[in-house]
Amino acid sequence: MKIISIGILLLIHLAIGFLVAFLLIVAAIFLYLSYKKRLFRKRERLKKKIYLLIEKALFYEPPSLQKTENNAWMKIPFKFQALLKKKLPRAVLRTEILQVQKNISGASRDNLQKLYEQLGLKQDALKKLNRFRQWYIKAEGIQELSIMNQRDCLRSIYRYVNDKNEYIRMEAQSAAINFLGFHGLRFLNIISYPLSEWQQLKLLEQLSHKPVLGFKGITAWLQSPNDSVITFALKLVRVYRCFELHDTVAKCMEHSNVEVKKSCIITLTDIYTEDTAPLLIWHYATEDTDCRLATLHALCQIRDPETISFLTEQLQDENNDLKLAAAKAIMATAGSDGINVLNAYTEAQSHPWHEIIQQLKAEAAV
Amino acid sequence: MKILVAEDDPIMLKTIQLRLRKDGHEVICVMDGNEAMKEIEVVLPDIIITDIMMPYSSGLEIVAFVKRNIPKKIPVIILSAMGQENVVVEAFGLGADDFVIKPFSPNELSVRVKRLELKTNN
Repeated sequence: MKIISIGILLLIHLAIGFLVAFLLIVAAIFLYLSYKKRLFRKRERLKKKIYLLIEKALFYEPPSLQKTENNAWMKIPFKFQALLKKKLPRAVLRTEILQVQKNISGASRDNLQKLYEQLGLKQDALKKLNRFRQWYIKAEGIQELSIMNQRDCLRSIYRYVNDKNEYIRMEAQSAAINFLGFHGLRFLNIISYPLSEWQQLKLLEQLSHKPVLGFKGITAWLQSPNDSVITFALKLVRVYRCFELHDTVAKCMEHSNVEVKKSCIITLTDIYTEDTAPLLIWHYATEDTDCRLATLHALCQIRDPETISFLTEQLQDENNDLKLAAAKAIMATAGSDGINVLNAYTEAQSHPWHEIIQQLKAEAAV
Repeated sequence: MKILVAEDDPIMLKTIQLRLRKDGHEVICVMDGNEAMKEIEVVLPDIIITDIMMPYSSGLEIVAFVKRNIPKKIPVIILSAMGQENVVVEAFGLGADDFVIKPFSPNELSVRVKRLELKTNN
């Protein structure tokens, strides 16, 4: 009887405990949500106020002879001067200026840049870069200076292009391209950390909006000890069709990294000369399956009639992917005779050749 | 002139509105495609400026809607981000009259509106 009563008491205590904990959690969630809501509303109110200042700056035309106090570009109303001494309004203003800056150009963009400088936001961004240790604050500072086109900060930013933190160096590299265009690529000479695939694409996208001024140093990048720099240089060769670099690119076929070799094969396909197909065939025997497949795809695009005998030999490979790629390359190279070449192959009626030939016939019909 | 601006970014919308009001136009602002189509039917604007990427209905759908369902000839200016050249070509195919690539100068937009205004008046 005693044991049962203790059990019930314990249950009651536990139930009360859970109830209290539940209520505390609900109260905490409620308080947190109402705090967030209040903050959101405050931000919205601030946004409305601050936009009045942005609006004034966007279409501001300074009177030519009249100078404002402290030689400032635009006179900032007193209510804003006081407001912008506080942390939150300053943060809201910075966010809004950056947002507008991304979408506009011309005189309005220049005006916003001047407002950004006049309000000391540039100094704030430099502080983020120099005084904080957290990577996300540094990266944010670099990004901000880059969006606001603060070219005179390049020296401060450039020392981060090979930072150990991936995000900081990504932002610094992007800023270098933003400020200097193709000349900004000189960071490829010094970086020891890898350039991620994403960063490579981002840099290429940024470069696509810059005038092409040639690549000083691309030969050195193609021989870089950093494999990702070679891969990126190969992408540059491909995108900007640097035919004069064919022989330098061809040397990358001797590289030990498979990814570099694959990228090299793809690049050679885009800038091929009469030497490309023999070169790819020369390396074929020593390559792994991925590179062989890339080589067969390359030969499929190069369509050199001299390669037919080599491609026919590859039909005997044990790997079905290689067989199919070789057959496709024959179809592309031999044109209308492609099917005849394949049909003449001794095992044409056996599995998997019968199926491969049927598939290629169907593809040719389309 | 009565100009309808459809843009989902509130700051951009405000910036365009300001610039066009400075030029003396009446500006009707909407923030999504569906709202734009409803407003177009009601107010029959003289010019439409629309972003391509918008919630519910895109700028392309707005161009198609105007050219198909509105009897009045309303010129449409497309706002597009860089790298959306294919979409701009598609917009011209649907009947758009002009385009501006972001980032753009509000002054440039103002000039393009004036040009369309002259063209319409002639």
